[in-house]
Amino acid sequence: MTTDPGEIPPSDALSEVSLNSLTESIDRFDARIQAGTAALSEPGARRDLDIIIRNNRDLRERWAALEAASGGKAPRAVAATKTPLSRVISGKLLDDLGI
Amino acid sequence: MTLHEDTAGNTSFSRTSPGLQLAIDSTSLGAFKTCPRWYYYTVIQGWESKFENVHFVFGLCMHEGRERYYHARARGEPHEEALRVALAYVLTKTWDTRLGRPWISTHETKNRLTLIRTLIWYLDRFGESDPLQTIVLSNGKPAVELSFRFDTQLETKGGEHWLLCGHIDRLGRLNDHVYIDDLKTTSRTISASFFTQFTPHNQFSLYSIAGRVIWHEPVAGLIADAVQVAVNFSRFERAMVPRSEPYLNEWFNGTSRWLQQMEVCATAGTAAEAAGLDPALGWPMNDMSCNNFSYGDGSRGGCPAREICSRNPASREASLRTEFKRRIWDPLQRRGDV
Repeated sequence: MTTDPGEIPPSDALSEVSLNSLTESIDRFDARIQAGTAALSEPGARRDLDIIIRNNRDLRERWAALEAASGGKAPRAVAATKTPLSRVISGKLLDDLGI
Repeated sequence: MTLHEDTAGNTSFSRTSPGLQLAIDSTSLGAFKTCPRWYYYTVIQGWESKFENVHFVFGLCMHEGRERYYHARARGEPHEEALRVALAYVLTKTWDTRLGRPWISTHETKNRLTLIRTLIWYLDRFGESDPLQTIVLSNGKPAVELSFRFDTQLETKGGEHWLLCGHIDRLGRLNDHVYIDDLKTTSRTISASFFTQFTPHNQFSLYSIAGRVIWHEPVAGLIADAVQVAVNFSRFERAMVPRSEPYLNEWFNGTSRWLQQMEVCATAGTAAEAAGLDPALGWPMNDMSCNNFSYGDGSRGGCPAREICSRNPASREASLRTEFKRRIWDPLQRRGDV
């Protein structure tokens, strides 16, 4: 089964690959926002949103499975949904520079 | 700036008694109860931290995303489409087209990724199959982000009336009873003790009274809709926050005392100003609150103005201008105009 660009490959758990797929799917919609093509009436906008939604639902199912396997306790995941560090650094510098 | 100049652009203040706020919301009242000087700085003078309050941004986006969802559903859109509407709104709101980049949060749990995840998970859980069904108003709009105000019938010495006002997140119906639903986002674990913080609670008591005043049906109570935002998951819990009639009567009587104190401070501040002194003298510091300040996510710590109050009075104004920025906190400004 092929996956849409930016969609989490089914074989992955909460891994770095999942995080990259999630951010990639959001990046695609961000590019639409910047280009002014993010309205739901725009071709492909719904599809891009659906990929983001599907990715997050997938994360939920996998998290629930990990939690169940841990006896109901919140397990430690391989990857975390943190903002990538490079973005944090560059964003903060941009804030300080007023850019 | 004088008291009159400080409040000239704020419609919630008296035009005849400088520094006297007449339209009070839970933020204003809570600020005064915490520390009159904090209230003077943040509500009368309008200072707020230059640093972004990530809890405020995150909470606002969740509220507004949820609002867009309910409006789409009230228009007849199915769940999936309403979810797209909400998600597109939040993504757009957290994108800076001028800088060409997203909202940057350095907070471990409250950032754009967790915001998107939390919104989707929340609406999947409580959107379509929520037992608490959003009430639809007679104009066809959902009862969400409702701005309210009512006359307390309490009079100032100058004969003006105090209003109590605010914004209710949502009115919903559960088992034929009407409830106020208030959304709270937090990084804390949601346990039974999490909900105990809401009694006593300034905002929830005000909303409970407002529900009895503004809605044509009896409002059975308030439901706290808690959203825990963790690094890798989001979790949701709800609890009733009861308020009996005697309890609300006591809160209202207590509020009338607080309003009188606000007038005492405004009078003292005006007198100080007339004598060529700093009007801030009318609003004393509560130095027992400096290290017990309540933040937006329920945590406590040092007051954001503690550094200012620690300085000599003569240097505080300059410090405020350097470390804070001005905005107008006007409880009479409506929200929910979707």
